[in-house]
Amino acid sequence: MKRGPSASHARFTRARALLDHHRAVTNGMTPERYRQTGDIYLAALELDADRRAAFLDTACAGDDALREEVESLLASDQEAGDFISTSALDAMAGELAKDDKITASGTTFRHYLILSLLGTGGMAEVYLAEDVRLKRKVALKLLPAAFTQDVDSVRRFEQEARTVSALNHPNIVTIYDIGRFDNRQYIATELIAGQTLRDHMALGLTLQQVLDIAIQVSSALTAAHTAGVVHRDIKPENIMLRPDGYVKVLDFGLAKLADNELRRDGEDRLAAKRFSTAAGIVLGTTGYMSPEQARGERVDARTDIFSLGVLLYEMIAGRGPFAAPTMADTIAAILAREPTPLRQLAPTVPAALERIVSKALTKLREGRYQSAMELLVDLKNLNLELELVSKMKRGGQLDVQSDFDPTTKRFTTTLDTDGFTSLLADPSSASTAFKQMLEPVGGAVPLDSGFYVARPTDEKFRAAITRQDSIVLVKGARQVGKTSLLARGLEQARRSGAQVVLTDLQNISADSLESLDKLCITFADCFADQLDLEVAPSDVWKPNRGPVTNFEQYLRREVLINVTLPIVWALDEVDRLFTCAFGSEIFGLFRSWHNKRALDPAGPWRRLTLAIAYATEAHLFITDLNQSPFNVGTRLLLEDFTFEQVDELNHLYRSPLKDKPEVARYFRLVSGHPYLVRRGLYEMVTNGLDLSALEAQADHDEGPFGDHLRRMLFSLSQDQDLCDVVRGLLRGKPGPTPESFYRLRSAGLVLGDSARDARLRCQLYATYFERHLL
Amino acid sequence: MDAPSQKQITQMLVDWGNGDQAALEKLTPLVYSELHRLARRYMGRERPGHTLQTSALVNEAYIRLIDWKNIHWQNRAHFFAVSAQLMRRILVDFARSRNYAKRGGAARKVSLEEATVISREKGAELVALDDALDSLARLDDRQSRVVELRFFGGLELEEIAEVMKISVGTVRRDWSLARAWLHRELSRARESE
Repeated sequence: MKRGPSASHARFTRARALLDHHRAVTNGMTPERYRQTGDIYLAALELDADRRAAFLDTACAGDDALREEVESLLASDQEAGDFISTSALDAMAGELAKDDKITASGTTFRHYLILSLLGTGGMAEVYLAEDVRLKRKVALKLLPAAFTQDVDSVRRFEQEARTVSALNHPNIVTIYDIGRFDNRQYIATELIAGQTLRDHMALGLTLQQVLDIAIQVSSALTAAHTAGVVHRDIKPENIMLRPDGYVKVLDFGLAKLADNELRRDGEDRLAAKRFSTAAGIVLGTTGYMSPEQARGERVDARTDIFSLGVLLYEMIAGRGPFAAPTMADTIAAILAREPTPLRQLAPTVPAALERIVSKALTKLREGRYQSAMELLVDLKNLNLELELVSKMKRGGQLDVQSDFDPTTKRFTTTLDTDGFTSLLADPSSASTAFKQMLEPVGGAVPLDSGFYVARPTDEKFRAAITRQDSIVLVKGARQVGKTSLLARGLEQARRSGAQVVLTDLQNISADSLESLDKLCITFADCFADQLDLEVAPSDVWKPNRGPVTNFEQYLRREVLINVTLPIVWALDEVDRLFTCAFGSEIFGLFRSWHNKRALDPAGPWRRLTLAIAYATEAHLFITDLNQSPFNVGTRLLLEDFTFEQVDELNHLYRSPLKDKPEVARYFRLVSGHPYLVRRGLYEMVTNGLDLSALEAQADHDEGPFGDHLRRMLFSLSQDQDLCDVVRGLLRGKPGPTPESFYRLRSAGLVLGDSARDARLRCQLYATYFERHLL
Repeated sequence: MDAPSQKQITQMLVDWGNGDQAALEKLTPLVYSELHRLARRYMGRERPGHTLQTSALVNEAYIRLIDWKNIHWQNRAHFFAVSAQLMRRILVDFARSRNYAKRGGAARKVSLEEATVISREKGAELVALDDALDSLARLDDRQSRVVELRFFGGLELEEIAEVMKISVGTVRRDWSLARAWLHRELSRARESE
């Protein structure tokens, strides 16, 4: 305990953490002791200095600690001076007067009506506000003027924020608007119901919750890193949990903005200024900082992984891996100390999870997970395993279950009767989670899948939707990712305030296709259901009017005129209409809307955008293009994968193709056909085949591509002329007619710039059709 | 401030005092902007060497905010406690949010008037005090309330005695001890850096 005069009125340089304070204060001090101390102090205060010593001798009666306490209090009283002699308001009046905050609710900030203050972080105030144009509530974040003076950093920050938001990732908070007003930088984001992870951690988390949160955060990081953005400040305060279970990560790139302002040397370093005593408060919480950040080195994706590791540790153990009494100690721990093994703090933690956290917390970057994707796979793997265990526990089975082919890459699980001890195979072999992630080949790739390879068409699609084009056609070979593209585009549309109606023609019941009337009612019902319209189609359907007219009237009166927002009607699997008798009527209708709009740009049809996804192969059936909407509107062709993209996918699938020559061979086999490429890679990974083995089975009817090939053959054989053309090509005979060439190319069967250099699209098709047509 | 807002604020304060957390959310920005306005006026009047009449400042803050006529006499104690807490919360939050503004020294061209410098330091002290006051509350709740009423609420010793229903002597002693203790804790915090 220190005695004697303290340095008179030394300047404060930072505020101390509450925890430190309480710990220091309550060390040994209890209310009773405090009262005892206080009584003696007060009595001593009444006495003259010379009589005090004697009094203290008696009163403290040999209790040296007590005496020291009293004496230090007496000394403190002497030196207190004008300590808290004026009111707090007085103390802060100067700062208050200088403040440039807007806080009064009812004020407007640009086009936002401030409703209330949601909270203040270290760097910004967040308000609940309403966007008066769009009539929706947002979280409006206002950054302190101090941080936003450097135009360059602000621009870079805006760019990054937009990039991240454009990902439309379910676990990344959506940014609606970003800009500057009244010399203040603002960000309007979606309002998230729920609380921060920090709040939830206080309540305690189960293992399942921990995993779920970690998976969602990793997923967000994977997406952001792919877009080139590092978060830099992953911590519980930046993560929100919605009541419906969704986790949202906030504030990508904000930390960088703050650091930019502190930087003077223009290098991308988190300078020591970040936590120098002179600079004062540490921006962000020290505890989540990575070693490279602590040292002021460059950050990269692995930095976020470290912070996520810290987060995981804390969620599991209840305290951080580097918790220490002071900031300096914390930093020292981050740099040099290994955290207490998780097992000691949480004995029921699965060994695999402990290993995952350990790997994420490796001090040397090269030793960590090199990408958020790898971490995500391991986490998902573990999650699946835990589900398996709990299922088995419920079902009463406790023996080993293995459902994989006995190949060299078998995955083994060993389970304890006590529960969660398990041995994971070497992560470099195919694991369950990995395979599950591969599963959706042939179905839509989930929005958060790391396997969705973004292509330029995504942007074009989104742009077309935003522009409210009349018709947007998404054409691609079957199973090529149209539905995924559609889903992403529709998300975008929804977020920008459009109403979306989705009709999946694959899901329409067969009797809806029996008559044109039933079909039109089905379509109208889609609108009624999804837009929650009061007037049902059956209410206003007039039997003496044609079904198409009824539908059009319904659409015009109940939807386009009443609803003021733009409408996107998305039709998926439209090829089904080709084989139905009324397809041409429906297509004619679409075509007429397009024409109506051209004639009357201000009319109600302006607000309707048709997004139509159909399969390339359907071109085999389209004989008269002029009747269809397929030669008007914005056309987006889902391109084949390029060689580089196939190479990338191979890498993502953990390289079943061993080297570039093999990738080239594979590319010759299936070309860049998005479905075939994935299907083949999946097959190789799950069955442990190498390329030669795959090639051997490739063109078999029961082989991995069997379904696809059979369907192609069937479609082709509906048209004898086209069959002849293909036969001719296989025999090396010269060119098809331009018309048949065009149809075959549109259907994805042949390649070439013109009929003269027509050739079969890939080796696989050549081999297969040779066998079946010749 | 016009009368209806005053009524609203008063009602919100009462609601908050009765445990309605949502009232605080609505209250804070309104009260804050009042304090802001007040502070501006006082800083505008300040002449070098002229010390602020602090109790007047705080009193005016309350007078303007609260619909005095409608506060019942028996609720007064509770009311003062609640408004002191509100003031504490707003000012401490404000001080915390200003902490980012600390700079290492020469770099920025911000004009540092002396008052501002002192205010910034006081801001940090306020935050530390808030923490220390929480610690004190664990040792002696009454003393922490006395400090809260005096330092944040701006009440005089006699008023505190009346509100808390204890003797003025007790208030004086509580204040002396609490102040000594708080000062010591804050000094120790400074030294250990």
